[in-house]
Amino acid sequence: MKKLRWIVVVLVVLALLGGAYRIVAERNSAFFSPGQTATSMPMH
Amino acid sequence: MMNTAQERHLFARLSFAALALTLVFTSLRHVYRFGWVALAFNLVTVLLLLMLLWYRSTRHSLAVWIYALVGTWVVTGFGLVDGLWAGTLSLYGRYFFPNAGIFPRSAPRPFGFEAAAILASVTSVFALYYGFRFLRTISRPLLLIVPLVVIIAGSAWGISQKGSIAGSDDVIRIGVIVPTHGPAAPLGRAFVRAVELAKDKRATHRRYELVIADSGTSPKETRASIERLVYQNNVKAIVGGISLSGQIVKPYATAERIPHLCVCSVQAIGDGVFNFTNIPLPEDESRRWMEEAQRRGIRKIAILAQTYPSIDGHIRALTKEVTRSDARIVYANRFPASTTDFRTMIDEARRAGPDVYMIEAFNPALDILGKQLSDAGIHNVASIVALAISERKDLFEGAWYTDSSVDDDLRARFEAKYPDTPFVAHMIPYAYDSFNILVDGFESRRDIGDYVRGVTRHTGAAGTIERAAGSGNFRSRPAVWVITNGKAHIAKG
Repeated sequence: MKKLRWIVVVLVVLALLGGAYRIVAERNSAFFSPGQTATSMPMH
Repeated sequence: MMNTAQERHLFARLSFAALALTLVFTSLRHVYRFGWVALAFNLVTVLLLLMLLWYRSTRHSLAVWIYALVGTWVVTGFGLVDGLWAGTLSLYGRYFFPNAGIFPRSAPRPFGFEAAAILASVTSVFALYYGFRFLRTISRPLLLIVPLVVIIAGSAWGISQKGSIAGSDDVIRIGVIVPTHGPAAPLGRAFVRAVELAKDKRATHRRYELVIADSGTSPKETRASIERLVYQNNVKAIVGGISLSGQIVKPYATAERIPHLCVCSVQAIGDGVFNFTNIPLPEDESRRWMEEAQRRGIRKIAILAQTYPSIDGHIRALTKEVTRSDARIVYANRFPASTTDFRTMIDEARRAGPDVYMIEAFNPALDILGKQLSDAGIHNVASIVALAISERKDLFEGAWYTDSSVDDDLRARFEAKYPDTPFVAHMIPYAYDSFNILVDGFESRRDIGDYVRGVTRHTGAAGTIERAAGSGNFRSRPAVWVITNGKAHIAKG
């Protein structure tokens, strides 16, 4: 029973980490698009 | 079945291990904020260990009190408030409920930063549980009550300090982000003053505060400024200028669902959802330019223009517009910003017999070109916007150019209040109108994003600007300006 509890804890933590990885990847792709550099961005 | 002493030893060890892990993950999270020096947080682990050893050998109550209070601080501050609330719950809460407005905004950070928060929150929950079990074995009620009160009060205080965006409704902060130092500083300063003028003039029911941020001269500086506006100042709307920074601001506005009105010429910045541009597009400028050229009977055009992204946009749009008319480009020369001798290209252009010399450049090249054209006796000069920024307008006597339409009253008020600041026609009225559009939205008490998305027409200092529903670009018809007696003014008719 105790072992099962620890397995659940580990799975929950892994699920949280996996979800965070996806959210961060999705979010950051909007902020740091490839090729977005000072020289490629026209000024007004 | 364990006796009390055994239980005490076991839970002391487990609570210590959980606290040590919380400190490890917290210190890793803080490495992203403060650098490697943050690993020094782990020295707290040594303190906790010493207290436990002291307590084991002497049973001195001070040792266990220090252990309990330091542990409470670690669990509350780093585990529950920073790791659980500002890290884990904020990340997931804002992802699944973006409109809830409960969780604090958080800047884009690497996965490691967020993962450390999740791990710190999990270990802190274990530290809380094992710590409680350990202190219960000591049979001193205060040793349980005081940490519990500190955890509850500390968490409440910490969460309130992390500040959700929904809470501070009494003053509405509007961010203004433009470069106020570097080469574009004159434009930026004029921009800021235009927004300040709009705020001074406007009578409102709600209170507004402008938060000025310098977007600087590099993407790195712009990122730092916009993150300060969004994540520290909690602005509820943004007025920005200059496409260079507008492109960096855009994803922040989208991620945090903040309306961003940008006085920018890069069409792609406007997405019609949270980001909007409100300056004539290159197509609008070139169309108006060709109308005027046709009216003046111009058929042959020579182009002398600096290579620069926004100028490239104008030249591309103008070239397209020329192909739709009976005019033609008889000469075109694009030069780098560092050019100082234009005489050869002026001679080549003259040999092509143009009706007008269409020039566009930034200073110092602009005024050097103007001087050399004037020396060559050439005065049939025209431009798109560029002549507005000439510091020697006398060199361009009789020249004409397209630029934004400007309300005379705004110009008079601006020049009276800021006599030392040049009136930049292609920024000031749009900055002024952007602020007013946002304030209209806040005053209506509707959701500000919904309100701005619903604005398809606004009449203000820049005349009437219009936007097709769903488009991110407010369009307007530029005016034709002429230079007479060394001063630019809108042509009549």
